[in-house]
Amino acid sequence: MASRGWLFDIGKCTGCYACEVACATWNATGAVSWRQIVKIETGVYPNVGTRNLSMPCLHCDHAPCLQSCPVGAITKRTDGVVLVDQATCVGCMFCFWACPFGVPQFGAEGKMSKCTFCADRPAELPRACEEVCPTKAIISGEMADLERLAAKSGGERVGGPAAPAMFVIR
Amino acid sequence: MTLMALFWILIPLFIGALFIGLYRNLFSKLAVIFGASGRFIPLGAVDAAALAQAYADEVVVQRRIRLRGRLPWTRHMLISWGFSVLFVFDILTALLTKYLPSEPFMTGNAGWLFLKFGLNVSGMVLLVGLLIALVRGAMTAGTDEAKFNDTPGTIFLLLVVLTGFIAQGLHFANVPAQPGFGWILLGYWMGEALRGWAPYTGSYSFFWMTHAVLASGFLAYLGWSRMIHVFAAPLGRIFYSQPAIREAKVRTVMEGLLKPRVGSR
Repeated sequence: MASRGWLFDIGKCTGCYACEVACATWNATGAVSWRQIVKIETGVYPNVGTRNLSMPCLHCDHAPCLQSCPVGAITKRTDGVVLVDQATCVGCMFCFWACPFGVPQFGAEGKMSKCTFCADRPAELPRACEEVCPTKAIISGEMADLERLAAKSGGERVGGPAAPAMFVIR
Repeated sequence: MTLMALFWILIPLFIGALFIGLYRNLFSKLAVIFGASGRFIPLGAVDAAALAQAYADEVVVQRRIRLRGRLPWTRHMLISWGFSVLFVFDILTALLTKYLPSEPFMTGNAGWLFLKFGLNVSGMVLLVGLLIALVRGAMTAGTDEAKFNDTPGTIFLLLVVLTGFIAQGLHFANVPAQPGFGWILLGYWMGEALRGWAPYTGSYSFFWMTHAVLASGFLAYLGWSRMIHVFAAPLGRIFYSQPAIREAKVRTVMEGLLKPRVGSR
């Protein structure tokens, strides 16, 4: 099965938080947020600005969370989606410390939860965050298709040894 | 092969399995974390007060579990403290009765009774916790709450405790009662109940060795099951208490977000 991931266009994101709300609503995440808008300050005074980066789990090819889990609660599906089994998770937070993107979340129950790539939505539908994004800054799909789309606009894959499954157009 | 020979073969194997499990499922995972963060925190940056607070919160009073409810907290406190104190008394008993010169302590049975009392109280605390866990496991089966249950681990530990009490009961069923034996509590009560049941009292050594093999098997199980949370969960929480580690984490996240290409670092 082809690997799936994200394409995010930083220039299009207005930081409206619709993706965060849609994710929390669809997945009933409660107190934790599986997708978060990160504000990145850029430039040097007086030419400064902020960019918005909508951060889900990047479902890395070499997911450090999976590698660091002492009880094997984290698995990678054949389509590349990284999932956590809450019945196996012991809440040790090793995944939180290993993830370079601060993705794993711990609510009052103490179990790890994170973006599941809307595992309960049919694959042919857009993800909840993608569906509501008013500027189409978020696109999900097969990595090969996303790579072609990103290349057209000068986008590139997010770097790092974990090989995150996300392309970014800056 | 006699049961005793099997016992002496299995014990080192189980202890070895514990250390291999700890290496494979704990230390190698910690290496992934340090590899991902790419930096170590100098000892001078450790916040001792925060560390002590985290230890008190997460290990001593287990406040995070208390937030989930009174029953899960009571169950977990009974099991974790019962197990920990029992383990300490087991080690003490082995050292004082076999390996260390302990004549003054053991003179007049007072020290020996103290050890038996400690073993029995902690064992009974553990037993109550395990029974609550089993009942709760049955009541929550099929619900979302079941994700907090560890039925295989609970049953394993229950077998260890039960065989321990049965072995102790069979032992006291075979020796004449002495003043102060009442302090031995459940072990002595079981002995009194079993006294005179000849077909059962002869099986003491079988139950003792079964208990010893199960207990060391449980140590091996710690390294290869969800029970590894005994070591991993406090570590993860204690990391979180340290400001220097949290700051390093924020830096790692920001660098992670800003990395431009696959393979760069």
